[in-house]
Amino acid sequence: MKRRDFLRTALAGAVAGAVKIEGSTILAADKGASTETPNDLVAVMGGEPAELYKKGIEAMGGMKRFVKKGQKVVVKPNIGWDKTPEYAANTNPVLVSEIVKDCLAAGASEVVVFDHTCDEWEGCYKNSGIAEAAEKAGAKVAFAHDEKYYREVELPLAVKMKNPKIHEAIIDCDVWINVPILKNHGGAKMTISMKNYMGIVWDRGYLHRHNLQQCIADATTYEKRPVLNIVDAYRIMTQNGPKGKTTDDVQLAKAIFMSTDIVAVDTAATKFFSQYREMSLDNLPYLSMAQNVKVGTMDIDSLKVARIKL
Amino acid sequence: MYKTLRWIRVGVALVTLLLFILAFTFVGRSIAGIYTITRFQFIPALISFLSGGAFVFIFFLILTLLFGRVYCSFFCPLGIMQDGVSKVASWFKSKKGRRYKYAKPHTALRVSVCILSFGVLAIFGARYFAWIDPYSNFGKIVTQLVDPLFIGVNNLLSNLFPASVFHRGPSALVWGSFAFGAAFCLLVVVMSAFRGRLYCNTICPVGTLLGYISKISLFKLAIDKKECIKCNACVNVCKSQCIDPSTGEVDESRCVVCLNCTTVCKKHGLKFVRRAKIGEDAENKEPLMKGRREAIGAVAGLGAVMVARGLQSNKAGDPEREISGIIPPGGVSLEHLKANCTACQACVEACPNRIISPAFGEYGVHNLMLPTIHYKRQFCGFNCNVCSNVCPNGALKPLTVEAKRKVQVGRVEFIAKNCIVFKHKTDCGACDEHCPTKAITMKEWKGKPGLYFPTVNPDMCIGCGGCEYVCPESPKAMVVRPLAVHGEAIPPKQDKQEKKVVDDFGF
Repeated sequence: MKRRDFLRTALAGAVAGAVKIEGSTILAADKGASTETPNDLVAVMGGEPAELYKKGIEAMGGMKRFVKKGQKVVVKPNIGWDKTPEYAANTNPVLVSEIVKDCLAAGASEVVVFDHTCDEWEGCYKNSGIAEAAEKAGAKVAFAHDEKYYREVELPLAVKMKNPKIHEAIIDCDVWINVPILKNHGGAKMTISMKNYMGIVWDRGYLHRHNLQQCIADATTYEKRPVLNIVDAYRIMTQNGPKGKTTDDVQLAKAIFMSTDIVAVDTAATKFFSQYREMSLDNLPYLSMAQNVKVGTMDIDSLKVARIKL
Repeated sequence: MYKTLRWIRVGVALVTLLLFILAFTFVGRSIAGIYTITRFQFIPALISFLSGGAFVFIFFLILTLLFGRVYCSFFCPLGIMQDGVSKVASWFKSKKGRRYKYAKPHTALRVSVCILSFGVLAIFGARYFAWIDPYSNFGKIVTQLVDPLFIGVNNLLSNLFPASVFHRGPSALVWGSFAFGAAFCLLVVVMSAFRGRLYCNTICPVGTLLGYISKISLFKLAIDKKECIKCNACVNVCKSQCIDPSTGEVDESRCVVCLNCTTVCKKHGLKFVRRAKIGEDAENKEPLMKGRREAIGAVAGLGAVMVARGLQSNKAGDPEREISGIIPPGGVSLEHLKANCTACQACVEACPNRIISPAFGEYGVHNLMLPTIHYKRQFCGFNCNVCSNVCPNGALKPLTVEAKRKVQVGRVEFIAKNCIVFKHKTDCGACDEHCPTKAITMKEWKGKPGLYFPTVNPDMCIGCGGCEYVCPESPKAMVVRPLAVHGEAIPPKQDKQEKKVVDDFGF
């Protein structure tokens, strides 16, 4: 058993290494070619969810940049709450559907959608509209309500949370796309892409017990990073988050943010959010914690950014 | 005709049994409206007579007054279960061993149990009657013994088909309830394996009551003595052991109208006859008169029980009473629950969040197996009103989702010394995150900018337990204290905010 584990880890390591080398050469090549460089971060505003997504992914270089033929893909929205879409507690189902279709069009062999919910999971999957939208678009909706669906991983870069159990779909996929919704959060201050990692972890309470900010940053050090983070800011929750009470908590912002850099996209989204309600980046230590271990950068100006108004 | 009737009986009985088994296992949760069948039961209809059960109750009463104990063979899941056990047991018996013999009634025993049970129901409410009500005990048997088996099978399937069948956590087993369910099940199984409907005719208070009312039924099954050749075929198949070959009489107080005798009689000598006709033919009318007196006594007793219950229904509860489990929404008060709940476990099984379990001590030693809520494995869904709508007794009064959102089943207590924010000076807010009414809000710690701690407004709390369940600390910093009398929470604050139009990206 131990030998098998060792071999498996060794093989996984080798594959990961190979992928990383390949990735870095591509990036290096991209930096050289100035005209064809795809954007690192894209912000689009002033449209409906499907429209926003299409403009955004186009400016990011198209889904084929992230999903290759035959790959197993996970799309990880926020499905935390037993709420319908107009409450902005969960990712917009239309956006999830568009992403799933695009992944399949890019040649994905399968697309899996799941979240470790806060409210009772069947209610969340159903009333968020996400399970139905994802299935209609051709995705498989995976169960995530039981410890059985999670496996322990090692996070060598983590400070506090070194051995969490994370969902098997993430462990077994080739690439995954992180699709949070932009909301304020009573505990973490903001919940965007990085906080959305809590939905791939089994023991959510562990993060709260061992310095929430640090553990959120720790989670994002898992070696298989999302190839793309897409922040749904069509409807945003600016108060009483992350669950919200009524639609009074919601602002219609009609925007979307995309980036390969999770720290950058959360920084950008927070600055956007600040126009609705003051939110200092100092309130989000997890951003700088992740930046310190090179998960991403808070310096948006160092990236190639596209700002698109429809 | 009797062959058809008997097949109808078997068909109705099988459907009844199947539906009740499904309703009391997790399968029932995904069949819309299945819990309606629990209203089609004698005791629930009696208890909820004034709150919607009258129609069903009168239907059963008229049915009994027409044809006798049809209820026991067609609609009682516990009775049908016993028929099943008898049938299976017969496969292991010799041909001779399968034959039933006539047995004398245990009149003194059954009448005492019946009077005692209904007397207790009238005086002390449903909570003790819960131990003997056939419908409710069937519910206990299935939730405690069958549901865990179903879950086991489901989880085997979830290993074989991981993409389509999901894993389920264990059912709400409580050792005391399990022991009760197992013991009761054993009693009924043993009695029915050896003696058919012996349980129904010696212990079951509903059986006895309906039996005595049957003594004045318009029609009764009787042997046509002109046709009878004394072959004993009917006696041999009578699982109620109520056909006396020496007199040729069918004891209608024990006959459950299974109709087995009518189809085995080669002379077609067993049929429904008008009672008045038997009276005319009989040389001695005395037994008939005696039966009439007993039946009238039974009906009068039943009336007295209902009047006594009606008089008690307005009892207010004691808000100071200490309880350690939460009364499900719609339960009003411990007093109301005690008076009306027969612990059938329908709410326990129907709860999609699996937070209701049979009480064993939470409400004291006198209120065992009544439903109680704990927030160990989940909390109460803000959008859910399932439990209050599946109760056939009105022990949990039906609530709309809107109404349920105002019912205060408990009040939150914040124990600051256990709170992560105070202990470690790090962010948490899990409680605030889950609070649906924002009875919990986060306040900034003076002198520690950016660090927020929870504050509570217990008057706004509905006691859903989101905070208690999710609080990552042990012992918990948020604890919901149960209320022995439910209250009404003050409505959540309206947090109107101006809808803004932003035209810039902000970075």
